[in-house]
Amino acid sequence: MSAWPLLLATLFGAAAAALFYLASPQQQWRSAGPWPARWRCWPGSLCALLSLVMTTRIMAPMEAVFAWLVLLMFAASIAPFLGIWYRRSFAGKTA
Amino acid sequence: MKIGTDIIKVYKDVHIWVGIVCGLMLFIAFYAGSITMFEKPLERWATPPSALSPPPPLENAEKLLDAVLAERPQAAKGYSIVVTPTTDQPARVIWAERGERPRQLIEYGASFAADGRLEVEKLRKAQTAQLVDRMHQFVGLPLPDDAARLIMGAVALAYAVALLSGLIVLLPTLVEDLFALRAGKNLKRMWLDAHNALGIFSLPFHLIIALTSVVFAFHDPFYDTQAKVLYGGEINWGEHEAAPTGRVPLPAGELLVRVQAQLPGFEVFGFTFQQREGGHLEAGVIGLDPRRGTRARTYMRTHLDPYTGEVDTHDLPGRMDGWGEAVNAFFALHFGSYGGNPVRWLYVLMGLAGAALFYTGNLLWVESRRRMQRGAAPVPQKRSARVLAELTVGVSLGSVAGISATIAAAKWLPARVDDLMLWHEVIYYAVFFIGVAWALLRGAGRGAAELLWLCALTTLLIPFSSLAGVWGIGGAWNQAGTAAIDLTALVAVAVFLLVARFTRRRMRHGRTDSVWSVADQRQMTQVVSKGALT
Amino acid sequence: MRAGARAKLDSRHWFGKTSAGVLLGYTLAVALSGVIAGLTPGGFEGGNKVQFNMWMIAPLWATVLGFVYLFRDSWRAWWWLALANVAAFGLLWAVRSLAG
Repeated sequence: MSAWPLLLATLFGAAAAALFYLASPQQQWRSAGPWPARWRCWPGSLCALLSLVMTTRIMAPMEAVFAWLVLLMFAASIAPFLGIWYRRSFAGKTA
Repeated sequence: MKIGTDIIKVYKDVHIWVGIVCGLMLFIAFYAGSITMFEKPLERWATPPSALSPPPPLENAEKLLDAVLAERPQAAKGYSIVVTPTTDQPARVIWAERGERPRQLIEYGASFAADGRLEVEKLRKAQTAQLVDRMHQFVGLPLPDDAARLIMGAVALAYAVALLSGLIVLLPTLVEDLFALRAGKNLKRMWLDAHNALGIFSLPFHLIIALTSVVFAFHDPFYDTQAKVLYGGEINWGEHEAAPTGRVPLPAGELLVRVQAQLPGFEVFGFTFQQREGGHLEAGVIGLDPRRGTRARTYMRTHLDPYTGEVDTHDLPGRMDGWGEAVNAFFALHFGSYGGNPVRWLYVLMGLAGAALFYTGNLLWVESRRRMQRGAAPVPQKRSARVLAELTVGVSLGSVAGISATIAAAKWLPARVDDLMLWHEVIYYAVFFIGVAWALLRGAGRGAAELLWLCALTTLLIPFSSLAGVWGIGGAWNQAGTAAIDLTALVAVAVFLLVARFTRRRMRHGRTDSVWSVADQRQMTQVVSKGALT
Repeated sequence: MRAGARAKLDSRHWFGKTSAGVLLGYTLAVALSGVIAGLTPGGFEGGNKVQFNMWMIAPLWATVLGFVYLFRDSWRAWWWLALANVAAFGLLWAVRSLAG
């Protein structure tokens, strides 16, 4: 199993979850509010798609979809925790 | 989405009761399940080194086999030739003989000594990973297999219902609460958000795990019922014996070449052989294609004609019919047995997140029963909330510490006791019940911090046992190439200590009207001792 | 449904509903797994299809058990699930006779 597609699949998957989180009205990461204001789902969807493409480089098609879904599920599950941790540790604690 | 408040209320009750009854068992199943993701490395780490000479090259496998059959004719019934020997399969030729107990099979391996003499050794594959797997399969219950399996199946079914009811309760606010984690004064809100965050995105994963577990527990009764209702009494599995195609089986080296030509990307671990009636030999090939999922957790297996080297590909993932692929996918999705180590690590994290889901669920129940402090006088918390908080802490952290302790014992036990499995279980349950008793005795807050230290300590014993092996103390050993287990344990120690610090801070500086507070524990002790006086 | 006409649900009948979901839900799931088996390619034949048919019981059973709490009381749960069983087994009989 080659390292580059694996790394890229993981990074794009994590970035997708982070971007979906940032676009949500509930996000706590950016004090200025959700980003982007328009076309919310697009940056995250693009990263998710790239992650899927990379995953198919290292696994058979069905297995690639499974691994990709589990990765997105995990990244999206911990996004709110990372968001609030970031806000408390580095950004202003006014919220 | 609009749902009647009465429906929400009913499903909230369903969700809460299933959670209270099953949550802690599911915590153990998820935590132990995370550990079993690395059953093979763990097995290699925990297996004592073999005293056999290094295995002869694959070309000499038949010579070794002939020597074995001359000395142990019973091995002819079933044996395997190992292509890539590992610490848990340290010989070129391995076979099983009947033990004294019914259905007991003892594995032996053979090699040639430097002077050409045959060496035979009883293999000592570690049972540590098997014990953790038992904890996982039987949700940590100290019961006979059949009873534990029944309870596990019921828990899995209830867990599926809990997922559905949780989703129904969440549906009206699903879209607006997505990604929410509101950490403010309202602790109940925060635990609810944390519980939802862990649950909602992982829902498909949890549904798969729940439904596959129902099948794993009940497949025998399912087949029996379907045999009567669908198949007119008996199931026709559609299997047929392969006809013999030659007299002399091919040597293993040649089989390997032919298999590799037929199955690109398939790493061959070894070949298995069984003697059938009339001297006809049946063979199988064992290996793995990490690009695909497997129902056998760590390997794939299919039939092989030992006389021609032709592989029967019908049983291999990617080459089955659609129904076979679907069934294989159900297994693989539960086991995380696709994509190699990266997916295994992902499943470890998902498993730990799942364990956290059940933990936060229980804390939510406790938090929503909190008695608020109105004036200066501290209020004692409800007994039910107190006991559930203590049980949550004791059972969860007790099982974590118990699993670490029993893994750490793996390198000390073989030199001291005969029945390894029994002692592994004794150690696990001893630490587990001490953990539960300690939490009930010390209260949830203090108990949690102290049990986390216990978790850190027992987990630290894991790399220490390897270190003892390096120095040759007490019969312990250190297998080359298994340091990943020790390093993972060290990371876990650091995590336990961090969480312990966080718990202590919350206990000291947090609010006093809580089951976590030390003040509440003191208050309760006063109430109890006053009661004892009057 | 007319607005406001629906009777309010409550949690009192949990035992009757749960037992209906467990027992009649199981028989219903078995019958439906047979209907699905008969209507999909492969029917009741072949080792892989037989395994797949068995796997279908779990999601069907869990779904029935999950939604059984929507019945207004235990009697309605038992009555309607019994009726559903009769229908499903009738359908299974029809599918099996068609399949020969």
